[in-house]
Amino acid sequence: MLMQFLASGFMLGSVYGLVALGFAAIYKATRVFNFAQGMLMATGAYLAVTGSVVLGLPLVGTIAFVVVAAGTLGVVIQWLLIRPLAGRPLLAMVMITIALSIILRALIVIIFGGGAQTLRLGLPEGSFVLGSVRISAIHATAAGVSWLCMALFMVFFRFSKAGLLMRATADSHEAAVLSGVNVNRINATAWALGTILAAIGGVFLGQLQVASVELENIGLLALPAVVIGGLQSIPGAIIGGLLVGLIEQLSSGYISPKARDIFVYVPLLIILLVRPWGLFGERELGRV
Amino acid sequence: MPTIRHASRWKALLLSGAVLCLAFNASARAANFESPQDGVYADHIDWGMTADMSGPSSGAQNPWGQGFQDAVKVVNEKGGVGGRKINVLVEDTRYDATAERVAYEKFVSQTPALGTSGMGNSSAQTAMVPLIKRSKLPVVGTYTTAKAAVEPPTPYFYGGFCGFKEMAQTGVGFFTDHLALKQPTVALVHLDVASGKEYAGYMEAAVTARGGTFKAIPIKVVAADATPQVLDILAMKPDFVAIHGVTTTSILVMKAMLQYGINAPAFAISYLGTPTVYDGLGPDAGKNYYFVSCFSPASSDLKVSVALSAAADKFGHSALKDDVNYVAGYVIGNMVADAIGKAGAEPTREKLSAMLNTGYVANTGGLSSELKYTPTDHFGLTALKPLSFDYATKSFKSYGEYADFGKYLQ
Amino acid sequence: MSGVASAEAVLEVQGVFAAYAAKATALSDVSLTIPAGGMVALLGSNGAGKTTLIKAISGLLPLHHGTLVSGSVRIAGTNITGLRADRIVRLGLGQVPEGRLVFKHLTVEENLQVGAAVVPRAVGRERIAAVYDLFPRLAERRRQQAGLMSGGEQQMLALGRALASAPRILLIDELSLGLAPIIVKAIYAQLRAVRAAFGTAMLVVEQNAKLALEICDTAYVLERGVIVMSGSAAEVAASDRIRESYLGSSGGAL
Repeated sequence: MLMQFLASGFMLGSVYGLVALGFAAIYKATRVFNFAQGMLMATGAYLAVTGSVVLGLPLVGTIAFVVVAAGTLGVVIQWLLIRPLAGRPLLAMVMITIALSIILRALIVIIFGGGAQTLRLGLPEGSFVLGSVRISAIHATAAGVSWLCMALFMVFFRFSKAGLLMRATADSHEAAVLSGVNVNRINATAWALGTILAAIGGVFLGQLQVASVELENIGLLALPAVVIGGLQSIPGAIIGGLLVGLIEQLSSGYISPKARDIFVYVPLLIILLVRPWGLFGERELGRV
Repeated sequence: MPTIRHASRWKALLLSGAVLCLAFNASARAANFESPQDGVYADHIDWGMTADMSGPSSGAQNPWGQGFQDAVKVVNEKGGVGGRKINVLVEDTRYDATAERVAYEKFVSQTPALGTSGMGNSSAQTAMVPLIKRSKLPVVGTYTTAKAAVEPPTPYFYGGFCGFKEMAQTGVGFFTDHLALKQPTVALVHLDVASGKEYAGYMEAAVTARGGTFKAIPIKVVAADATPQVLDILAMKPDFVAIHGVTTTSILVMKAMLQYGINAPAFAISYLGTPTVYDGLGPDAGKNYYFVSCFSPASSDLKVSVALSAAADKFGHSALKDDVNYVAGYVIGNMVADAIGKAGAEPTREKLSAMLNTGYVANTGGLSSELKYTPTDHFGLTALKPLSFDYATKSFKSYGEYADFGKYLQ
Repeated sequence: MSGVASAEAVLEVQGVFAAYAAKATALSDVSLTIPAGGMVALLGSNGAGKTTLIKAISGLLPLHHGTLVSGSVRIAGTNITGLRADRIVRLGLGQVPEGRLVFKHLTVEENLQVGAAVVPRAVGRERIAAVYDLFPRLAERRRQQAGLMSGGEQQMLALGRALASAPRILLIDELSLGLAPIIVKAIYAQLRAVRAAFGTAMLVVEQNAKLALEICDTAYVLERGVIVMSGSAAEVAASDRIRESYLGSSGGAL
């Protein structure tokens, strides 16, 4: 039983980690606490519906469509909403992202109606047994793809030139400008990547159940995940996501589904009180 | 706009002077009755409708609202009721109790309506019972029915959907007999909200009445996964499973049961017998999924659903006609039109509620089980039948007539 | 005044007026010219407008709620007035900002790579190698996180990062601030080596007038937003005005 909970917690946590990673990428580069991350995830599920059902694309085509559309959406959001407000107080930025999530929800309801949409991408179904643990193919695929995306992001962030410039911008906006970095382009890239990661998470959650705007609430679990892991830490976001997945499974398995909220948000409060920079974040040196 | 029409009419009456006014009223009374404070005018009647059209339960309530409006449109095209068109005033209450109350008060006096339908929020209903009794604006045909609103019955409240108790009794009775069980072992996955606990109570009573074993397993409304619940089911090895929840609940539970190789059949509450759920499940997980309902999806009985299908096609809702929620809205829309007609040529709120309260039977054309109100029972629908979806023929399949399952109700 | 941009001048500032929101004019009619390979000192007391002039050149005024009201700035004949700061860098303006502003969480090597990101890869590699030659300290610490280094090392890194972008001209703002005199001396000495190696022109903003006048060819003195004196370093150093206000009897800083 325990192994089963750990396995399913790990697989769900991988998807949460992916969405949380997208959140951390946006936060790290642009210092925007993106409350719309959950809705961006739900949007990903609807983009997959658009690709597979509306446009009738095959699996590969749908994935390409989701990535391109989500990336474009991220750039548009940065360009239209975030960029003009650069340098404004935190509250304004937070309000912007909340408004963004409400607008996205309304758009989805207008286009697709309030009801849930079926999302079947032809990914492997069924299940297999590994030792004493039963694993569903779709969960395993979701976890596998999540880890692949996270690895790709880490490689990009660590070793590519654009990743280097992104880390530089995150470190000091002004120094980046003085070094000739086009900060707007970097920020747009961060939003594009953050949106793509959220959207891929949404594609899998939509596949595990249905595409619906209520997926937002699952996507918002990325927030405690990143706060626990450390807002500034990319690996922290992934580990935070895994922890939330494991906590969810173990608490609803052994206690009750309601207990999840306690076991996710109590650690969040403790972290904020005793280690505000998170488990893996770094204490801000010098400034602030 | 009804409000403007209403205001200008009053102005006209004032201008015409007291004597003229009296004379006009006296002569017009027989042919052209009006009662603006009841929403009744010479050429039309205002009727309220509240539903969650865009909020958290809009997936189910929006089809209901569409069905209701489509039924009324058909009635209006045929000339309306007693020469008056029915003008539906729609309020999107987004599953919010406060919005529900505001909308009701609006229909009471601001834009007076003859009655109102929908109100798919049982906690709002429970809280509003005193207000409804005081305001005397009849609520006719609700999307869900709170116990407190009909027990004891008030002349101003009439249900319009299958009840949880009857769902539990019909489902348990049918599967126990169908699977030829002596003492059924039953697991229920239910939302950890008030209505879920209420349903768990009815389920437990129905199972223990047959000497069976019962276990209630809670799940969250917003769940990403049903592994813990299904592992509980796996440990219990039930003969059959029951589901209370939202669309996602059914999909997660059925898919996880397939994953863990649990082959027991499951039956869900009426609201979850929708094409969306069966679509989401696919044939492998969907073949074990049943539901009990007091409304018939169009494809389950093509003979009785001809008019419904025509209306759905005509108003662009073809995709909804197999959705029990749409069928329910359509049935209630027709019932409202019929009830207004039976309230006489000069309908008022008082006459309408008096008519319903003394006893009323709607003609639902076989689209639902018997829909009737008696002085002691305002619930409306009692009988249900089990249904499932046949993926090969892409149509719903019922396991008998409504009357066949009355024996399971106590 | 058209076509004034001589092929010789690397940086040409002409008749610049600048102001901050809701404040009096910060610069008025400031002009200065830096020839190719020239080292020019910009002197002035606190609040004279040195930093404002630097920001007006580098395009950072808008970021600090300031505006370049009129006048023009050219780099090697290209008008850069009103361009975005990062574009100006890519046109050949290297910056060693006040307070150093290194990327604290990146390694020394990564800091230099960010600097080199604006030039072709081969040029960048060459440049970074040259920076390590000029500052062996940086080469020793190339894998170290920049934020954990000493102030002097960070200053070397800031200079190295600017050099890695192969600039035509370097703007060096208050390099000596907060550093021990011996370290300042060592870094200043390397500036001459930089010029020798790359022929980079420099505009050196310094409160320590003595130090600046020692290494620069020419100097401008800014007071209350106006250029009050200019000429060769020797001439300026010899003027009474400068001796009294900046060099003092001790000849030390401030």
